[in-house]
Amino acid sequence: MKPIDYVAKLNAHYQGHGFPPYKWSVFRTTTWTPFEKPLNKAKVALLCSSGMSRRDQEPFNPQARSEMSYREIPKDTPTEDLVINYDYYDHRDADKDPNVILPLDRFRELEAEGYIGELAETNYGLGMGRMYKRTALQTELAAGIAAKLKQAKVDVLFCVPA
Amino acid sequence: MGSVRDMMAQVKPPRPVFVNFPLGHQCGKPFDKELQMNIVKDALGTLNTLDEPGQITDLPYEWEDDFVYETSKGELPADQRPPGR
Repeated sequence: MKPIDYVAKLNAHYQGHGFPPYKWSVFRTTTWTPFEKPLNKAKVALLCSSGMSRRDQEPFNPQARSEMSYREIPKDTPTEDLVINYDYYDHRDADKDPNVILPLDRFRELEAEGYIGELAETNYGLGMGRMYKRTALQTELAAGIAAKLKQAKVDVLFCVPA
Repeated sequence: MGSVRDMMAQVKPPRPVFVNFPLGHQCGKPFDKELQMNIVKDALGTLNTLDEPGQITDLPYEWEDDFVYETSKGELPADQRPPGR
């Protein structure tokens, strides 16, 4: 089946309810860092915007607006210890097996078999619902995580916007 | 790594990888380790093969089952449903 036209459908849906046109983020260019290391020497971190946290952490508030906090998910976290608090996508399958959006088990296997160099000690869970602070998202939240990744000498960030 | 192709094209991450699955399944189906691993490896493969920044890689996987989109707010009537399946 063809990919769904989410932008057009969301515009129609919300403008049909009287909301003004949403100002989508549109970038004409992108950043580019050549990948020069062999994958089996590279350190990979995972990041998933899905309302996911560990059971022993403060859960995300599904009603939050402009959520700027994130949860650090250590690499040895059993997937049974991950929970999702989010109202705006269907996470029934991810509740059963978080690997469908945060493939921690698969990356641990890739590390064990030497397919990647290593999985980073710290991986990231974000809330990201109803984000109205675009600038702060870029200059504070994203920049803060980027600094931590750099400090941890992460080579590859595997991002899943759920 | 995502399942919303048009937003991916707008946001332009450096190495976007598209999987045409219902939202909440970007890395596969629950407990299907082989599918999950194939998707992850395909995505990692773009690190060595992609040379045009921002070019979307479309993975060939097809979602063959029916899927009724439902959030914790419940299943919405079709005319009010956000884009899903």
